[in-house]
Amino acid sequence: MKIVYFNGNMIPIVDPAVERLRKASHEVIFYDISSKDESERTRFHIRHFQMYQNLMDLAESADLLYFTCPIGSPEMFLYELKVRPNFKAKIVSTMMFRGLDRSKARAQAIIDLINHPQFELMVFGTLIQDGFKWPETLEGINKSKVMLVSEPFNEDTRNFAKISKQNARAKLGIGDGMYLLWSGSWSHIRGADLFIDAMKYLDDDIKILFHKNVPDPVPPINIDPTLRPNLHDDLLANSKNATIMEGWVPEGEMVYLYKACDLCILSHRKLYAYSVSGIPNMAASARIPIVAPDFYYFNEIVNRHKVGVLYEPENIQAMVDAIHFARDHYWWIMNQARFEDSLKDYYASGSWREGDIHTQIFKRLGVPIA
Amino acid sequence: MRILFYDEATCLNHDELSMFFTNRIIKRFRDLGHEVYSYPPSVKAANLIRSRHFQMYEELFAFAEDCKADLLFHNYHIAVPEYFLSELKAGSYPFKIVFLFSFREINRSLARTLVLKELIERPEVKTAIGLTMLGEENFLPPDNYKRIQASTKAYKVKLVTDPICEPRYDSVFSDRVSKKKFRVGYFGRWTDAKSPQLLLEAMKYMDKDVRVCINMPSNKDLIRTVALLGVEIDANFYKMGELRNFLDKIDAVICPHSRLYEYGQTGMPATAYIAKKPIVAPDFYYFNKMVKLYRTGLLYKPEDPVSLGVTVNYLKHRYHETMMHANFDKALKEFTEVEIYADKAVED
Repeated sequence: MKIVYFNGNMIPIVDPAVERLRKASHEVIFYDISSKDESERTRFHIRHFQMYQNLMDLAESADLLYFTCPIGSPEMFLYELKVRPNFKAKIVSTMMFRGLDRSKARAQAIIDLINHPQFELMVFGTLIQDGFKWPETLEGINKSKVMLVSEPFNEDTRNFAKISKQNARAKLGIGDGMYLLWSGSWSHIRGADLFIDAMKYLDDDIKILFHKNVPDPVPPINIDPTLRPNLHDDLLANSKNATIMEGWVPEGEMVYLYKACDLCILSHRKLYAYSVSGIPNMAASARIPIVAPDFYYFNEIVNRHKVGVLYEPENIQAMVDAIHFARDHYWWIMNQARFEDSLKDYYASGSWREGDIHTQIFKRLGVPIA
Repeated sequence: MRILFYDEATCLNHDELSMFFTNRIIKRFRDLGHEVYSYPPSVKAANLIRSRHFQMYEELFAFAEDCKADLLFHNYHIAVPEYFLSELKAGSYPFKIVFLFSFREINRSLARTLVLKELIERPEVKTAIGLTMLGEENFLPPDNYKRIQASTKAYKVKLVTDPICEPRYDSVFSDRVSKKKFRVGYFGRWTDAKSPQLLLEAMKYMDKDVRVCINMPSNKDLIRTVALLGVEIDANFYKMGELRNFLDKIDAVICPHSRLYEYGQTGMPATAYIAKKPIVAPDFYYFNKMVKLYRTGLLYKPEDPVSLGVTVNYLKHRYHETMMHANFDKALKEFTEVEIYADKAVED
């Protein structure tokens, strides 16, 4: 079988199944944008319509076109299909639910794409598989062509049990007391500004470990213009009780942040609904509760497994109250929390990291893989 | 009529040039007696819109409804027309739409062409303004466009020559700036499509008395690298109308654009013609048609540094002859002023 295996992400993918497919005697063309030089990556990023054009030219004589990344512009991809009535390759793609709940137009493009006769399977990354709540906008989606899988994360959380709180705190150089962790990218959608504004209203006994998860200096691509420019100054002004860390944490070392803390705050904006995040997974692995905004998936995870408390999204006072509530009722929350169950939920059908998702996808397609 | 003016260039780039154009078009709408609102309402709003790329048109349409607009004027070509079309399909809107489009993408992608066709055929669309550089009379539509033209509601399409960026002035028709050095120049952004890198590669094929001058934004690393190659750098950021400070020091303008620019509009030729400087341009549309029509320069094999270098040498030797034949004034007559967008948008 001739397979065009496409990675349109800027970053290299975890466990490409390319070699395993080649071992099973398939002819595989690996079209990997992450391996291109920066100018070509940028060019494709800006002109995605040409990226699909190139990709479809390449897949013209293939039997299968496999997207190991979400289709960035399903609208444009549909038009590439429309102008190629003789395109014979079956198409399999991954996708995320983020945005599909709030945009009827985008959701319709996904429905139309899935309904295309050449489209074989859409693999959605999610944090909830059993009992997944479909967004209303996707009503009418052809579920027989859909598969739900756990979204991949770089951090392997299985080693979290091996590190103690004392060791983690010693490693980070922080002392006793109740520590609240904020860790994330410096972006509007993650609500870095919302938490920084909330910091000044927190009681003094709550210590904060603030992890600004961006390289230092911040490359231009990581500067979010929607954040106010003096935000870092505000962070410093509100940091009386805070330990501030900046920079990427190497893979495998995120465990120290979570194990060192007692609580984890998520300050994401509503735009993040239906987005995957590794935070609930890592917090549960470290056995610490989360204080999370009340929207999907966070509310579903908290409500199902009692692993934290919820607050009204984008409401700073509600966030502060929820943190204080979590501190005051800490052991009540810990006694109720079913961390193990929340992790089982996540791993219900395996994870990308292990490579078993690829096995399942290709098995479902009837395509042998080694 | 109540018009909502949406400037995608302002929203995406927020540069001085787009603001300059924006203000002139809005003024023309107002002079014609229309009430004009502007979107996005602020830079902050523009940033927020950008962060939700596939929803940016949803927010635009909602704003247009809120301000009870009769007409949504989309200045600058639509960056992602398929999103725009999807949003139109997903809703029902009371206003009419006028938008601009470029033939550059139509030339390169049949899929994009199909998107445009469906967009033009939407009942909400009143007029689609197609931007060329040659005027309706000399325009040769790309093959993709011809394929859809028969079925498109052609009456909705109006062709407009790209407006000129720099103010016109009476330049003096002159011979070479210096007898010792033949000075050729590039001005503009440092991008793949504009491809100034080709000019640097071509330098080794140019005669020793050819001097390359570049006016570029002040990127220190790039300036250092380029200066090491012996290029004369003018790192001044010239505002509107000041570019003649650079042009007056050179003999010819080099257009090193890559093939990505075929059917693309650029202000470079018009700016060169205002200063009465010939261009050395790649042999593809629109450049080749423009050069051949008005004899305003020489053509080289696109993306070929040897050909570019040799052509510059040839121009140096035949400079006087080239200048004698060049009809800059006639070429400039093709170019319009930006107010034409407003005129075309409201005419029946």
